[in-house]
Amino acid sequence: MISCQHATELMTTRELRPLTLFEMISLRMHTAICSACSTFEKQIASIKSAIMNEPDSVPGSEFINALERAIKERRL
Amino acid sequence: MEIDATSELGNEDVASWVGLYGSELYAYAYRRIRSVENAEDVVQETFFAALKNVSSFRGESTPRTWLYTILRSKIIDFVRKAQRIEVSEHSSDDLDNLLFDDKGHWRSLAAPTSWQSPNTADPTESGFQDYINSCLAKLKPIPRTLLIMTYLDEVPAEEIRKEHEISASNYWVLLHRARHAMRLCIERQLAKEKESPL
Repeated sequence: MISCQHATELMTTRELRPLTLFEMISLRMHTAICSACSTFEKQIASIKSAIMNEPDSVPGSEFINALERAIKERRL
Repeated sequence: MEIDATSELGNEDVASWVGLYGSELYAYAYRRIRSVENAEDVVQETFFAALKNVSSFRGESTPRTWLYTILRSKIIDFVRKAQRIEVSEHSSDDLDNLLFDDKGHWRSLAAPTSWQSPNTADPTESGFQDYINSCLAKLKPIPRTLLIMTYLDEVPAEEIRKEHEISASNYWVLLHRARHAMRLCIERQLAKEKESPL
């Protein structure tokens, strides 16, 4: 049985490459019986989806106007 | 936008690009940097660089594509400048010690417990989004950008890593620490919320 530390490490590795079958099974067996790690997995996933779904931000119009002016006035 | 390759481009053209593409370039930069001030800086640098090199822009790509190319390199420069990396392969030791005992079990105070806050029921809910942003702001620029870019998944992880000149093992370490740090930070914010309900 892998440790909790190793389980969280495999979850990070999974972001970078597909896990091997052995790694995948080790991780699944661990999270199936470890509530702390399965909670960790869910929380990390909700953080990820929040980061991915961050709405686009809009620049202040002051910034865009000032930049436009600066570009017009700047000598080539 | 149509570009007449025979005519000389100048200040007026680049200034018009600010109006046309400034907002989306800013949004692109902000998504990766998550700081208004720094995102404004890289967008400004992008347009100044565009102006400086406008004579070499021959309309082989669209101005938009060209500006994005410049912006991406400015973002990489920014992250590099912001923090010279000082991560050794063992630098996750402290964090590991905080979280796990020597057998690799969660320490009792560090073990994740369910987030039973109404704010976290829906991750797209704005309260949770605020926590995410304030916790991202606490990360250092490199881990922050790596975490965001890995999650946005527009560019293969391998490419992100090479662009920032980070070794594969450091990349893994930075990402791993950032994930734990984000989770801990969110948990602490939620604990504070519980102590002082509105």
